[in-house]
Amino acid sequence: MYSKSGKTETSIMTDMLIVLTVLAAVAVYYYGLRAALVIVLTVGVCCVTDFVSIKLRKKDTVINDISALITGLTLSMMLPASAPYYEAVIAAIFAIVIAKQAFGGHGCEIFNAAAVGFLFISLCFPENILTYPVYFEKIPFSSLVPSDMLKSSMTKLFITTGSASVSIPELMVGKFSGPMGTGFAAVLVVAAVFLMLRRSVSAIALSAEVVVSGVAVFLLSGFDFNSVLTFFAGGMTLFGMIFLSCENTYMPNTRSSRLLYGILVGGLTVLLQYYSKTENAIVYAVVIAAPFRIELDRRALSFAEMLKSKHGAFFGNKSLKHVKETLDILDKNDEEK
Amino acid sequence: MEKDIVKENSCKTIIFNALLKKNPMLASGMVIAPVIMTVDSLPRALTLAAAFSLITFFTLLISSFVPKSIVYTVRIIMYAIIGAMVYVPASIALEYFIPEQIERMGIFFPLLIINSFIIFRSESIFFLESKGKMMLDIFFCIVGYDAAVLLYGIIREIIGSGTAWETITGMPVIFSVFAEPFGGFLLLGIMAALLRVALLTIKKVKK
Repeated sequence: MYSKSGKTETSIMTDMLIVLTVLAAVAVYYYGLRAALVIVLTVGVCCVTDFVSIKLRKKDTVINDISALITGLTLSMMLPASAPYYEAVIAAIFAIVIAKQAFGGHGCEIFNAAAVGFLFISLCFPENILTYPVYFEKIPFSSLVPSDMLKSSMTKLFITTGSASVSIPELMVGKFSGPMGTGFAAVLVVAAVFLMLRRSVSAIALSAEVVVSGVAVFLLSGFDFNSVLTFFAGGMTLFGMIFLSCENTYMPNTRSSRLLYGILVGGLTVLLQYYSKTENAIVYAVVIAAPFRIELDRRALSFAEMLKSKHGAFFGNKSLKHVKETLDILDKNDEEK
Repeated sequence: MEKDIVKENSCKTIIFNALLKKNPMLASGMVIAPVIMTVDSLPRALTLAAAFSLITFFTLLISSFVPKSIVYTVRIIMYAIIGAMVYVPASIALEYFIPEQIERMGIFFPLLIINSFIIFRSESIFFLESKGKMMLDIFFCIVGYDAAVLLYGIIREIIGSGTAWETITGMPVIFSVFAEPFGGFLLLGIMAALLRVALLTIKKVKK
């Protein structure tokens, strides 16, 4: 099966898997075996739930479909290393059953399954999911980690006070309290370049998100470059932009709609973080922007057709044809319903 | 076509449709705003069910006497006026018995006057069926809605607050998000999907 970027789905998922495995390894190095246990549990539950759901829906399982693995890894990277085991399990089940399989399985999701799973448990159990252990500190293996070992994230401090008590080098290597796999900015930048070069994430959307949100934060913070760095590296923002919003599975089809989608996600992230003081604003922004993808494609298509009727030329190419086919299928499904 | 509709509407079909197949809340998605915003426990579900039943039943009963010859727009305004007239005694009665619960409903209580169910049912069946069948249909639709609201209320209370009728149940895990409107939407969606699955299964078994 080929994706919108022309690469095979398996190839994209393999690229994501490689990068996420590196992040998982760094997370285990920082937080120890407790982190490994949470990662293995989340990934395992995602895979088992996906398999069971597919069987219950009486569909065929695809051997090289590792989307559940990717979802599990992405989700676990957003959790704190101290996350109670049952909460990680609940998040994984919710992500797969409600956000993925209920919409028709891989390729048919409207929302990023990992983002939805994370939002669900962060709203249900904020006291456990939005408090974090200190890196290089031994975390007990019990399901509930004593609350005196946990503290608020650096993002929260940044949102409430407008500054973070972390130096730039510490920021780059993720030496601050936060989710276990989203704070290693240096690794994330390399990952972003690798994935963009491999065309596994949309370069247009990612660039638009980074530019729009970067410029907005720079202006809103009174031209403070440190605030921009903290905004991207100090929490989930950069990770979310790469793995939640720009993955090719969740992208609109045309370049123009990808650009608009990137602007939308970037703008929403800044708005949510600065005006509603939302921690992990990128996750909310991704979920809010997701339904607009189809509409953006629809607008791009009608615009291209308008140009064609006026000037006799069909602007766009393969991607627009792909949009047309997709929209035709959607319309046909609606009619059948 | 009208004849076909009337023919299809035997008493058994009317009851089945009203309770399950075309359940106003779970299948048609009508009057869901007050459900999501106010029903987070069984007592609140009962309050909404009582308020909805009283206002809707009597409004529809009186509205059925509005002649078809009146222009559509005027007819709709008349339904709203009738609803407002019914609201006065209904609110007096409910405030007498359950004053706190009614107060908690806030704006969603008076908004029941113009609920979508009244407009939809009045315009879709008033001029097609006999009075008897029409009232039977409305009665069971209201029962179907109330049953769905009560079920929704108890589920939301148990999983969202860990209580049943405001008594602690000792649930090991409480999903507080279900007590919020976001969780309310989610639960409603899940219940609607489950009803759809159940109906499809019934259909398959019948075949």
